[in-house]
Amino acid sequence: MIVRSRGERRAIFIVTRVGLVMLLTWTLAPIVWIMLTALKMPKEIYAYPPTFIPQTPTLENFDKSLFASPFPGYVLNSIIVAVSVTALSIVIGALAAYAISRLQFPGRPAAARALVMSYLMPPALLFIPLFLVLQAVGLIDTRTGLVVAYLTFTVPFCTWMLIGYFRTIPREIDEAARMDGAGAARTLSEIILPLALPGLAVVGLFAFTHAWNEFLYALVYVYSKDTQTFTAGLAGLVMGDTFIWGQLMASSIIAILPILVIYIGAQRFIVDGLAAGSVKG
Amino acid sequence: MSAAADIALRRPARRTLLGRDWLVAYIFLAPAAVIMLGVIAFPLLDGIATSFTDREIARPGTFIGWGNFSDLLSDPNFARAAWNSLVLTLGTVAVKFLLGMGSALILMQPMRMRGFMRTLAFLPWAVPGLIAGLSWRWIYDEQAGVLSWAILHYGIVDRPVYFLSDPSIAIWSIGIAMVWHGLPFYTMMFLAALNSLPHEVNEAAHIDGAGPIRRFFEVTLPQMKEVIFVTLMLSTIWTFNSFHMVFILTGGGPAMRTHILPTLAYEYSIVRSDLGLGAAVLVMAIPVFLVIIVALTRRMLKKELD
Repeated sequence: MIVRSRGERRAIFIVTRVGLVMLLTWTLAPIVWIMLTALKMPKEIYAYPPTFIPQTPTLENFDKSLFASPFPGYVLNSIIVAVSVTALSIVIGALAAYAISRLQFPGRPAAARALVMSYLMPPALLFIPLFLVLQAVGLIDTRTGLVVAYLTFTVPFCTWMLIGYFRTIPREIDEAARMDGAGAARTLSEIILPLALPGLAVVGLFAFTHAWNEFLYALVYVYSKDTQTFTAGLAGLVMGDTFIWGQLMASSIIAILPILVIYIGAQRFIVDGLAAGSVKG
Repeated sequence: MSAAADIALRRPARRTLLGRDWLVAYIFLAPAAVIMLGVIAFPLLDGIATSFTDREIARPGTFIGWGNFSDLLSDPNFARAAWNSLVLTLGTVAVKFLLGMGSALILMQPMRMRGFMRTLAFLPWAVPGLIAGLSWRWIYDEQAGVLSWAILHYGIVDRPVYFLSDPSIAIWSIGIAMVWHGLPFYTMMFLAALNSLPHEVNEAAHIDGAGPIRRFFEVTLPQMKEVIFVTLMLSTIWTFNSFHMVFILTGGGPAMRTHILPTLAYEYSIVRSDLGLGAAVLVMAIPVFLVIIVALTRRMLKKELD
């Protein structure tokens, strides 16, 4: 235990509290501002000087967003895309991770290297060439095309993280299964996967979050209103010179809700998951 | 003799040479390989090839050699976009590092509802990038945004500040929004690292008489080297790569002054339909990425394949 002097403890206490207040103010102010704006009537939004507590609070922005705009359709598309991406990433990633971490085969180090380089490949570099490929196979402006585009990031990343998780499962279990005559497929599905469930959960979370939040590909690869996800859809509502701020903010809140809920619930997992690849121990 | 040894003796020599599971392994790897080859490696090569053509969205191009590249080298927008990318990336990474370390240290201290405080601090990162961008766009709005009003009202300035349409200020505005969005990643990583450090070395230093500040710089920080490296590298790639902030805050304006390389590539290839030129912008950025990616790959592989 480190024993500190009273003076030192007081100093730390003050610095910590002051720092915390500044940090949380800076962090939460924009979020609070979105919420306040969403609850104001359009006239009040443009009031000058701006009001803080809405004088005439209203739910009309949420109402319009949900019932009088293409927004719900966008959210549905986002859900379809995100769920597909998550499911595929977990399956493909688990198969590949099992192979790389548990099986012997020529080219294993090269496969691992290719994996890491793949997920480090920035989407902003890839988006034009990927556009050409998707165009060539006729997947532009389809949800399937978007799913494929997202897999380019999530599959390598999920595989990588699952390798890390699988490594924590002792090899003796594999050997025992092999003795019992189980092939690789059964070992994976009946023994490894159940043990790696927390890892699968984290990986699924990442895949879902990525697909849900992603903007660039959603913008470039899909342009029809009935196929767009909400990120591209919201941006589309802004393209003109007029920003319908009330509705935009209300839509934003609706769009963030699923992620916030999942995220707050799984926050501990995420910190552990991120650290798994880089922190010893 | 045990059954296992029996099987081992009877294993054909060829399978041992290739590694006993090669067939299964390749089958398992196939889907991932299809994705990596078909949708990452191939497009990359195709993109590089495209940068040597004058291809447009609606028509295939013809080979024009170094044409696009020489155009870019004499293009002031390209030079400015490259500069903006560099400055924004390095600047925000540096700020995020400092603030992130500070936040992590603060959130390490014992306090009531610490878990809740941490969750609050992590919130901006959970918000989709586009929505973070929209929010800041609203905050920075010059007619009705709250920031414009606040700084006038509280006397911080005596003339209105044009956060997004004043070229010399716009970059800072973008930077602040990017720091807001990306800071929690640093906080998370540093917090995880701090949590996993062994106490003993720190206590030994304390017993030897080192004060908290010295302990931090000489004991804690060196122990965090690995995590710091990975965090900085990942964040550099992601920040350099970041499209949505610039896109939604200024669209690259005013007069193309706030473009970064990804948004410029978008402008050229999608808005102006010149795919070849857009691809060339990205190709020029590849060497920078390659260096970082190779360095990071080497580090991360060393940990996993040991």
